[in-house]
Amino acid sequence: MEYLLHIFILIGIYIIAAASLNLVAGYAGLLSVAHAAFYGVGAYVVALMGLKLGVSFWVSLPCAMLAAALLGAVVAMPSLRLHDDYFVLATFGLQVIATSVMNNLVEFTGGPLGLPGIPQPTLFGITLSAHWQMLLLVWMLAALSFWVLCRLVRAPFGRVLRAIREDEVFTQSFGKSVTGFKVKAFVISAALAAVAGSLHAVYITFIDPTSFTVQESIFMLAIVIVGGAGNLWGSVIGAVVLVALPELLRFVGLPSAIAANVRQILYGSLLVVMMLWRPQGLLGEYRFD
Amino acid sequence: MQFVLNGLIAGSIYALVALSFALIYIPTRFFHFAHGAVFAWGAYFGYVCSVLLRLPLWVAFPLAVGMTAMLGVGLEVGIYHPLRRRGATGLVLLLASLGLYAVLQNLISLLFGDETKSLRTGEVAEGIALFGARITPIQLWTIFASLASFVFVWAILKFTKFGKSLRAVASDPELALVHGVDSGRVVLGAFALGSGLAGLAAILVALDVDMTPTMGLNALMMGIVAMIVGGIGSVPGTMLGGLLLGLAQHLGVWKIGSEWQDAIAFAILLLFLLLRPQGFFGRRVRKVEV
Amino acid sequence: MNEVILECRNLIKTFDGIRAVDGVSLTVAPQQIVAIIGPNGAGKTTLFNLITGFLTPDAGSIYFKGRNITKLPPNKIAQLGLARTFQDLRLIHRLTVLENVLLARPNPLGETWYGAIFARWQKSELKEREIAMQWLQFVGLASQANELAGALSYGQQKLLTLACCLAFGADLLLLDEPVSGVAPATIEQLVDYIRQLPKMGKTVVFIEHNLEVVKQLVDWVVVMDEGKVISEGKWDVVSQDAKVLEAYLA
Repeated sequence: MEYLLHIFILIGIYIIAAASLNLVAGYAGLLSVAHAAFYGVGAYVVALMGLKLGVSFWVSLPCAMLAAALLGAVVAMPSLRLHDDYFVLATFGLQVIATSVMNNLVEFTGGPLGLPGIPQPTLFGITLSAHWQMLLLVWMLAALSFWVLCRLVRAPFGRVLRAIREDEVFTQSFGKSVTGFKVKAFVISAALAAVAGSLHAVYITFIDPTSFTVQESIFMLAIVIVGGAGNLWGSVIGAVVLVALPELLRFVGLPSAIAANVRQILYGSLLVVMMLWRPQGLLGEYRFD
Repeated sequence: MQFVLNGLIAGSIYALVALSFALIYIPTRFFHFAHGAVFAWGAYFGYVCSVLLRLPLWVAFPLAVGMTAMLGVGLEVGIYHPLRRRGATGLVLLLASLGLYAVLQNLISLLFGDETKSLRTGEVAEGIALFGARITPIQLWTIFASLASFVFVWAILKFTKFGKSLRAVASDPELALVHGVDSGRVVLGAFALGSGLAGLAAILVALDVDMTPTMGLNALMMGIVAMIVGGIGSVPGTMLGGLLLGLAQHLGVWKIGSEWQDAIAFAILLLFLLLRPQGFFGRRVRKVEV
Repeated sequence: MNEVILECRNLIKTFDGIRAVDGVSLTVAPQQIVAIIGPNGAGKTTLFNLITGFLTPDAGSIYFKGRNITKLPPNKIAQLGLARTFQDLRLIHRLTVLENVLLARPNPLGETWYGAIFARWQKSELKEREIAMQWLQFVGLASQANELAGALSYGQQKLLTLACCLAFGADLLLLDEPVSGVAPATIEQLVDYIRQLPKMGKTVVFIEHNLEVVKQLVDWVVVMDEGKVISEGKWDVVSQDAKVLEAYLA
């Protein structure tokens, strides 16, 4: 039972991560493999504020979002001048630098050994340590994030993003600031990724740089793509499929060391299969053309 | 001086990887990220042939290079070509290559484990003294092999039918078609040559230092940075880019510390992408026309 | 009230050593219909790109409603009340016909990120839809409102781009070959709509090769060849001008 709750918690966290990535990759058409970097920023800010400053989760969470948003803005403005593969390349570079910083600023981040013993959130004096309590927290924040994203994509804001994805020149010719919209989408996406990262930090109570690498970014991208680029519910389905399926392997008796590799082989293969069969994913509208 | 030498050695590898990557990028125009995994497989094919099968080195390593070339060709035949036939854009191919990278790299982890291995036989050589620094025979071989490969590729591009076809496809695919160039064959050849060179580079690294399943990621990124710095489409530019990158990185290591070498390389990449995307010797590619 | 809504002074734009636009000066009075004609490669579309900010001139200046817009980016120029269509018919194919027109609407509620999250844009969206539908009705596309723009015929797509420019509320419309490649019935429709625009307070400048249409619509013709303006005036005068005839026959 605990195990089932664990899966649902993970799914909830990845829904936040994938849906926020969908905003930039699926709706705005900006393929970013730097999402795990913002996810990581969220995790490290919450972890450090909790461990070193004793700050409550409810305060460190907005700080984490702000930190990620600022980083997103700094990163976005120059990078968004680049298009297509070059933009992906720039985000790739950023992601690697981020992982490098996490590994190297040892006094701050604990380096490769990571940060253990992250304090769990408390609510009215109760520590949310039980799985079912975490589940409620994660799913409430997931629902809230999802609501925010739904509002964004259904409003004229979302329509402009989709137009930018299809034809920037046309969109500009009707007075929209293309770069402005891209930056805002990127920043919002980064802030929500930080929410997911913060939850990761206080749920597992231990973080190290290996959770925030390029591989993780690719995994999040795979969720977006399998579920459907340009459809938020697709990211929900994608998260369920890509998180739950590999976990079932453990039921089959696969030792956990191998399970991690098999999981990655699974999502890698799914990504290739989707590109061959249905690039817009299960529910999406964007085919990366 | 040691750092200059180390920079040249690292630069030779980067240049070789960049060349191998450029050979594939130029006729196909997409970033084949799985090349990083092909690179790693080169080292592990070397491991299979020399350590597991106990073949003599002069058989094992060419065999491993050949196997790596075949792996690259297999990816083109099995995945990229079918995708292109379905009208896939560069982005779709790039996404597929990300997935392929994940599959191939984790296969290595599954089959061989994640521990660091090496192709080195015997102890770490102390190295010959050269201009006040030390360089091992393998490292000398690395620089030599890199230079030789560049000359080899340059000769192929200049003098052989394949080379000329490759250049034709690179500059104008439709015109090349009109002239009877079989671009499918050219791409296959490019994948074979590029993947083989990557395998060679990986074996050299494994002989000099060590090998892990994720070694390809780093090498790939260095190769791409070198290619962009030197200029896409310019063979001498790519070599220069690789060497400069190696030197810059090791000079940076000397001043700032070795943990930051990745960050330095990527900072260079971002600078070039933003300020001079055509690199030193490449030509500008316009992305959006009105 | 300005007597001039658009003015270009001595514009020069060079590509690879060739002067695509070579010292072009132009004035357009409000509520006029002006045509720019000339053989292919004369620099007409380049001129449009310069005016709308997609290209920056090497020399010269551009004034719109008295404001110097020479160095402004395209979206800022558009915001001043200028809309355009493109020679290669740009549209958002994956959005519906209605969504394309809604996209053209200036600054609806919910277009900013905080507006999208916190404001009650649903109500304003309904009003915007009404306005958009009115423009679709004007061009005769109301029944296709929910079809994907990519599914329309070429002629219908051209009508759609006109509807977008109108929904945008532009005072000056720059239309690049509005009737090229379109069936005669649709040409008549387009001519009819364009003819009504000055009465609605709008000014139109269009590039065209179809000289019949030009003759029917315009108050003023500008002829370009090899980057220069070689003749301008009323249709009757220009069409007899020897230089113009030479340029077209050459």
